[in-house]
Amino acid sequence: MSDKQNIPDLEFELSEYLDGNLPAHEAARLEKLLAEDNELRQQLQDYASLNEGLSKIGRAELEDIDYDRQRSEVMAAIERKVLLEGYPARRRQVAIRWMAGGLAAAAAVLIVASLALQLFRSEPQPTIISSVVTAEAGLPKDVPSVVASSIVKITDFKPAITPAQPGRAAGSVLVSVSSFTQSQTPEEIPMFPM
Amino acid sequence: MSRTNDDYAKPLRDAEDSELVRLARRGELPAFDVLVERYQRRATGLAYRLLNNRDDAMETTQEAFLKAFDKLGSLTRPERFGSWFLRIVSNLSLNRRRSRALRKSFPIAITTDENERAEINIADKAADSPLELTLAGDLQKKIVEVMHELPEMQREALILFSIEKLPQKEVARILSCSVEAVKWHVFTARKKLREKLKDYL
Repeated sequence: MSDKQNIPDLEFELSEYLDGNLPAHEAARLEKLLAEDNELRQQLQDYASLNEGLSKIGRAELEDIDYDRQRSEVMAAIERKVLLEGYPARRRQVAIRWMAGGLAAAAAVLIVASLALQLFRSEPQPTIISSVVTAEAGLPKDVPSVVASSIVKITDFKPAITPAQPGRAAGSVLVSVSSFTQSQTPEEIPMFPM
Repeated sequence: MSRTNDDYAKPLRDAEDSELVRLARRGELPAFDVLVERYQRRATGLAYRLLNNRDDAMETTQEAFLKAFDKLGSLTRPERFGSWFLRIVSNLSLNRRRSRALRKSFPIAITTDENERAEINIADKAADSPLELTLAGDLQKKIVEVMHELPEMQREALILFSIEKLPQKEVARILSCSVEAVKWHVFTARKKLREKLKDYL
């Protein structure tokens, strides 16, 4: 078997040789082959001519271009864009701020909604937490007693997953609340578990 | 003594791409101006060779710079601005080429006074593009002709490597493929050119 047949893709190797990608020992082997083989030499010559032709494509056309003018036009277009729309980085910062604000608002709504859901699902009837604060601060005299009697205070909050029990679903949250009337001080509020 | 614009421009001209990108992101336009100066020739050359039309190439280059400026914040590796930018040029050129091909494939119907319909096929006009008219020899004319018949990847790899003389590693980044794939695309393209241009070589 000749050396030529030992190289499975000789044409690819020629291309690599032309580009200077062949390791020294492979290049030396190919050069030996080239010295002996006219057909192979012609192939290499063809590729070299092709490369030369390729490198000349459009050269004259591109040399005619006024690159200073092109650059000024590009920069003028960019300045116009900045004037009209602002800097891209700043536009992005504003967008990020809006997104963060939106996320924070959504998180707040979720928290309030889940708290309300948990409180409304419990028995006795729901607790208005903000009213507790009002109550502790002392309600005005003219608040009707029906409002005052509905005020309860959360005294113990034990979020825990619990097994199902009669009258209580599995996974319920234990919340101890106190209710009091307007006439009672917070210290007098009776405690009862839910 | 006050400093002139040139005093500021000089250190910018010597700055690395990554530094210029960082400054341009902060809104310093002179830094981006240096990037334009640095890459405009290569970008125009690439667009021209992909589009085979000088006006289209100039427009594409401008569009690419505007897009690059707009997307500068998304460039994760500023030191690779060059290959990132040339990929934008290449993508925009190919898009333009495709839309041009699409327009060519739909002949325009013109209604004359006598209600006769004449069809103008724009594709026929492309044969007289400035690139072809200004080529020195038959070989280059034929190379351009055959090159535009090659599949996109092979044509791009050949242009970037054999004409623009970019290192294979850089070409691989621009084309989002491996160096081995670049070698293979370049070789296949050359092989096809050689086969079709046998009589001219």
